[in-house]
Amino acid sequence: MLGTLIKKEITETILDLRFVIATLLCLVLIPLGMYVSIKDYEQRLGDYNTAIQQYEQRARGDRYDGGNFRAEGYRPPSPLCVFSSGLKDKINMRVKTQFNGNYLIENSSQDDNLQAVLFGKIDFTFIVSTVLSLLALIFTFRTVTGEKENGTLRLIVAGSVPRWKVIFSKMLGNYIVFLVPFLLSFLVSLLFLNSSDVFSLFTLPHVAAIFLLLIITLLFLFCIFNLGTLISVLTHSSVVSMTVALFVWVMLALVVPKISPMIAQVVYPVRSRQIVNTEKAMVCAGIEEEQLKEEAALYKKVLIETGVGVERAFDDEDEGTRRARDTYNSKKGPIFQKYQERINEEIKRIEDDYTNKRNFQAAMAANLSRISPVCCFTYALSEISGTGTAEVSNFSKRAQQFQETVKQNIYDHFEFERYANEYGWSGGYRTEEGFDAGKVPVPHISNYRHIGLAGALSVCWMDIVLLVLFSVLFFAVAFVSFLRYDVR
Amino acid sequence: MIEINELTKRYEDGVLALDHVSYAVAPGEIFCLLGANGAGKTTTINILLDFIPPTSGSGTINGHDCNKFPLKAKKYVSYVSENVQLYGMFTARQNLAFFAELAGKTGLKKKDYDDVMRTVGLPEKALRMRLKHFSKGMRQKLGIAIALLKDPPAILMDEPTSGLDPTSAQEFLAQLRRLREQGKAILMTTHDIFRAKLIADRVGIMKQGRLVAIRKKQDFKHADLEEIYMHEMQAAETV
Repeated sequence: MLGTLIKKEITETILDLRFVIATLLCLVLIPLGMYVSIKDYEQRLGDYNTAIQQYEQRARGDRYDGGNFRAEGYRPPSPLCVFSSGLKDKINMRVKTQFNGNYLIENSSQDDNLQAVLFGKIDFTFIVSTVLSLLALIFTFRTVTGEKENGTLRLIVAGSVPRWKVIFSKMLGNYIVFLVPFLLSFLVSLLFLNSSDVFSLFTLPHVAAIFLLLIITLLFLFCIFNLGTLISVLTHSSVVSMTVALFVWVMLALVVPKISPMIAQVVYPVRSRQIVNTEKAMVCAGIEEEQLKEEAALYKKVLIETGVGVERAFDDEDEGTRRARDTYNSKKGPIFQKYQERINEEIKRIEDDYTNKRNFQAAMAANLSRISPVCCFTYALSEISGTGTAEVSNFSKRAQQFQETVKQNIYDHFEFERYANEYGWSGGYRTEEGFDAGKVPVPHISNYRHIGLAGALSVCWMDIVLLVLFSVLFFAVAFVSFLRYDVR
Repeated sequence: MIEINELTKRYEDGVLALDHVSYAVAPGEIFCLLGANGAGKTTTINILLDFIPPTSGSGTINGHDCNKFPLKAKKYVSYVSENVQLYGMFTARQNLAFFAELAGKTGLKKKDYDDVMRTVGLPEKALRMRLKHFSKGMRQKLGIAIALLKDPPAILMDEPTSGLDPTSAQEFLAQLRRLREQGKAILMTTHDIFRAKLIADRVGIMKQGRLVAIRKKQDFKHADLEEIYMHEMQAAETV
């Protein structure tokens, strides 16, 4: 009996115009979106390689001049970004290290096409979360109300058919039919992906990640199908169920994702990155000014003590001045150390404060938005694709490590000599004895590892669990409601 | 076969749709329920099919309580509704096969479908036609064909002649007579006093949820049933 009901649902849906539209949309949009995403990835990979080459050429000349050389590290684009653009346009691609430790993380990729920024890009996640979710609701909104209006529901329930079989067959039948064009389109997309020279499809991490992406997508679609069925069960006419379904879709797919960050911003405001950077620069400048004054006082004291006199402070040719400078250099270490530590502490304090507040605000927005399955789905797919928030943290950590490595290997071998008085200072970088900057390889972020499947799962497991819970909840409520549904 | 005992239904809004109604329909009998809109005719059928629960009393089909054991009770009954829509994109055969399989009739052959189509007066070629191309009369006949394929001892019909043209209505009555001869217990609600007089073995007259009268064939065979109906309605008014 259940088989008969499911078969009927499948046949009825296949014969419906909605199936033709869904098939066409899936077959056109998903492979097209994948093709465009692959081309985008290839371009980003090319940009990354070009940026590395340019940096290497630049670095070869600069390393001899410690004052100018700033090592840079680049983040390669995640291959799985073809499934979800996520934050890829916002994820920082480059870290610029600094002598004083105040490294800068910045975007080096820019969208040339302003329309792409204005309207957003079409990728697999967008197609599923926006287009297919709407199609799923269109598939299901009249699954019960339509039959009620046709009178066929009365005929079915008038027979000795348990109601649970009727509703179960509706949920399953519609879902199975929808999966056919979707899976076919997904397969075509994978063929596109496999034909790309820059993407190795048949590697364990990629196969595992794509399998998981597929499972989560199927789970999301199941969730929306159950929601559509629930709407159909809770209403009594097709017009009402269509109106409710559209309203729910607009809320879940358009309003909740956009309004959650706004609410979080109002409830818990955080200063912008620009203001924080300005604050860091001002604090550094203030400390450096104090340092300069203290260095000037020490230099003056040394000049007087050695009998050179302050008037010969900047006379590089004078033997006495050179001796005084040697004495000064042997004494200035603690001052330099003290102020360097203060700068580091202040930068860390400001950065930590900003990061904590920003993270709290982001977590608040994310948690608010998780009332929508669309958001849960988007979070999960972007994390697994290496374009989510975890990848941002991953690169930040790697950037910090890179800064420390470069400092250890290069910057610490340069000494900044400065001789100051109340009118100004002179000086520059001096290479440590025995250190040949030209022999040090150009520093790179080598073997950069994206967040990976395990790392992504540790971040997005909650979204997957929520999708399961939403599915079960919608299914259970639709199921129970239909048992008491007024079929008259 | 069909028994209704002190059946009462009061809706959530307080409307009393059925008020202690009792009667029975025997095998081989056609019982027509007459009454104005809102008299409680369809409510009776809705309770018998477990679409809604009764407030009190009970309805049984072949001895099975329709509210307590609905699936058992509904095994013995077919339902023909007022406006048979069925699945427009399916062919007649697909519709028949679907409802027959739901009724547990699997493995039906072409001959079975041809026979039932002939029985209800539909051409065999209509089996391959999609329902969206069927007229209302053809749909109604197919609805009866679905009921026949199940072959139950009882049939509930809710305004089955509504909207049928005279020829189709006559064919429908002929079909009902054949079913009666086969021993089916038929409970039919209708506004059509003329056809009720032609086909019914007994008529029940309902007003505002009450069964105000039951008349046997011999009471109205040679009388004007419409007059009896109006008389009973007025009598109920004065009570």
